[in-house]
Amino acid sequence: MSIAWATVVIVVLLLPGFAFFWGLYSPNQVTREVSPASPLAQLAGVVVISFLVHACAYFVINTRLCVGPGALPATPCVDFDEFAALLRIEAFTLPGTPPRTFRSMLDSYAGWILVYFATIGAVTGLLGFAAGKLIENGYLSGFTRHRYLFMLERGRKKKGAELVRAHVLSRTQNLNNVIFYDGILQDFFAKADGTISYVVLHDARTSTIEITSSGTLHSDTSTPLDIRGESLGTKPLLVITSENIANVYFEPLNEVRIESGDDTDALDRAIDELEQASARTAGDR
Amino acid sequence: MRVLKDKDRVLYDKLVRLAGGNSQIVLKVLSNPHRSSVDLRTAIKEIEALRNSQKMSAAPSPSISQAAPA
Repeated sequence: MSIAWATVVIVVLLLPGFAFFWGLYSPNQVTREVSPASPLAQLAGVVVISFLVHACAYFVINTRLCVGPGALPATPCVDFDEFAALLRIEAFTLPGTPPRTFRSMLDSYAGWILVYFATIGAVTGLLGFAAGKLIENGYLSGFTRHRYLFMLERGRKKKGAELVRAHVLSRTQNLNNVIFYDGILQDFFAKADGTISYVVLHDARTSTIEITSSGTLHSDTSTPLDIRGESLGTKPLLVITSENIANVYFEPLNEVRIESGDDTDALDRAIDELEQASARTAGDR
Repeated sequence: MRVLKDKDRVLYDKLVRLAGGNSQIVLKVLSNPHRSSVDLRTAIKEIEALRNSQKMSAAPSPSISQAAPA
């Protein structure tokens, strides 16, 4: 019981560290969905951040907020002796013994304790979020573990359309011919160590690469997987998992800038004219 | 992680439709190594030019079709 209580108190005390890492991962879709590469190092980070935050909060509260000229009225100071009693085995009231002082302390200051943890949890969560945004935008590149993942994500955040073409060499082969896919990268998922878990290609095509004694020979033509090519709605997707991926070559395409709404109207008009002309030609036949 | 925005996917599909369903034309226009970006109107013109040139080269030449019976 006492050990469990001490564990609960320690976990609550580590709340600022957990809040910081939650905020750190929240803006970053690359690493948010994967477990940390080193859980032990992250736990150490949680402990260090929590210790620093509590130390700073202790200093600010006990030297500025509860005493002195700028003190907020009715703000209580942090009593470290009372707090330390919470962690000890004898802190619990045994049957037949008089209640100890910390019980009245908890009764009196439960609201303040809740406000304290809510405040420092929110502050450290926001600090983590700010750090995550800085990493994401390239300002803290030293903390970036797998930079190519951020390169892939960059296009999604641009105002214009920046597509990434993926050339995927598969492990499917017959004699010296290896199946090759290429298409517009739609979704991407990486494992904690940065290796590819799967890729999703939009408008995928397939071709072959022949491995010869003098090098590799790419087939002249590639075949769209959507052979009919008639679907005007969402096009079919190709999902390739890591078991079938030998390697991937990512090629960022030119960003398409849309200056105004007139540009998209011009595109719609050009498509209409083309399709009307095609319909007339088909009707003449 | 989502890489392709929905509006970008719609734009790409429209460009492929403009290219007569030939996505290779769109990829050729957007893979120009001499520029990092292109405005949409320029991309439309380049796609139409490539599409028309491919159509012309694919169409049988009248002189050849006339020469064949001879």
